[in-house]
Amino acid sequence: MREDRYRVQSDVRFRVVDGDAVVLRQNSGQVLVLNAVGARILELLTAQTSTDDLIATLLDELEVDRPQLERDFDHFLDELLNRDIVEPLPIG
Amino acid sequence: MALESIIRKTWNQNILFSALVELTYKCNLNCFYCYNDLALSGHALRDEQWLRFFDDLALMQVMNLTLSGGEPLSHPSFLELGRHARQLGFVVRIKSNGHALRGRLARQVKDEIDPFVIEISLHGATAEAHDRQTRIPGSFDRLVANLGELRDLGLRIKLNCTLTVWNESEIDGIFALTDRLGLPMAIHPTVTPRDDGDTTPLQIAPTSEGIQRLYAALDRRIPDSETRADSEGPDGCTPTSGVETNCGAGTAGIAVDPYGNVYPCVQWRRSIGNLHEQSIRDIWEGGSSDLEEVREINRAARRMRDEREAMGDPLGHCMGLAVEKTGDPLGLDPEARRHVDLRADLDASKPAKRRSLLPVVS
Repeated sequence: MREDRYRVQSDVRFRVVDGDAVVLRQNSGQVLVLNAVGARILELLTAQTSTDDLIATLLDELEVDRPQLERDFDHFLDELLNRDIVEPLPIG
Repeated sequence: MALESIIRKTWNQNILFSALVELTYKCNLNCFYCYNDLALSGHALRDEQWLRFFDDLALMQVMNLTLSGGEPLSHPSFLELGRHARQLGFVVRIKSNGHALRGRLARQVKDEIDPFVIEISLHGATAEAHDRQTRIPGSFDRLVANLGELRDLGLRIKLNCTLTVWNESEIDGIFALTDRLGLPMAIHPTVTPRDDGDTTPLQIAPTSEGIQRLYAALDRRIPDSETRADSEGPDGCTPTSGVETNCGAGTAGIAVDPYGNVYPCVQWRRSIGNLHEQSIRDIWEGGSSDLEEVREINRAARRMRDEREAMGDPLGHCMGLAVEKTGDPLGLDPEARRHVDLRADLDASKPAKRRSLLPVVS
């Protein structure tokens, strides 16, 4: 079940290098590299864009149909949650 | 895509990724082998200049920012600068002697800066060795107490030690102490001259026996591996192939002194610009002849190293050390050669590993 908004965990640092994102989890020292689409999603999540707006933005920017994008996005979001890169934004 | 490919890209495409800033040369210790050029003069960068510089680095997507000195905590605006670095999303490292990191200040560093790691210098396993280096009586006992406090606060600490004749008999004791503290330790076998070329620190360079003792101790701790075992995050990756330069000096990294002079790295003190006169973006992208020459030397060093490696010679190269030792960034540092030979001698003296006999079919 997708939440409305997410935020990047406070120990996460990332930069976009020539389109790809280098992501560090400070607490574990784990480094991940995301491709350009992953980097863009992380940027949008950092801005606490709602997931509906985020998907609408990506539909504008990418050549992909909505069902495919939503499947890929949910899969990617699960990865980010499992790796403690992002967390649901608390309500209120 | 692996991190190595990103780092390779930063080296090959001159993408600035890491910056080390020497906020001040003030220090509350008085180390015998301090490498800072304490006679260097000029107009120290003002706080607003440091803040603007950090802003520029963030816009350039620089990831790693190391706050160094001197003792960086001696800078009167250290916390403000550190907070700003955190807000800008850098992976912040702090290089400190740890003497002042205690109590309220330690808590503020954790809560307000949240550094990825604080690298702290430990100079021996005993007060005798450590205090001889710092020339401050009581500094060892105070540091050990502070380290326990910092660890308990949850700060990520990494200890560094430079091997010298004063501590080379304490290698096992150093590792025993840091194991007891539960903190990672890296012992480096190279004493460097001061940044002004003064070779006085070399008077306490370790003996050949001391260096081999260190290599042997590392082998016992990390069998059949390279001598470094610590994870250093996105600043600790070194590409092993596909790179056009020897290292990231002037291609992916810079160092800045308190007076705004910008260098290719902390070791290679060749100015490529000054932040009083130009922004870092102008220096980096402006095509200055100094920076272009640094990059060309870096590429030449890579070619030189590749040629040696093709002949089975594993000798690495540091342009900064080469300048200090030979006056030429492409010169061969005899000390580096000595270290490689000592490593090879140690390996040759080890008993050969037993090998399984392969069946022979004739």
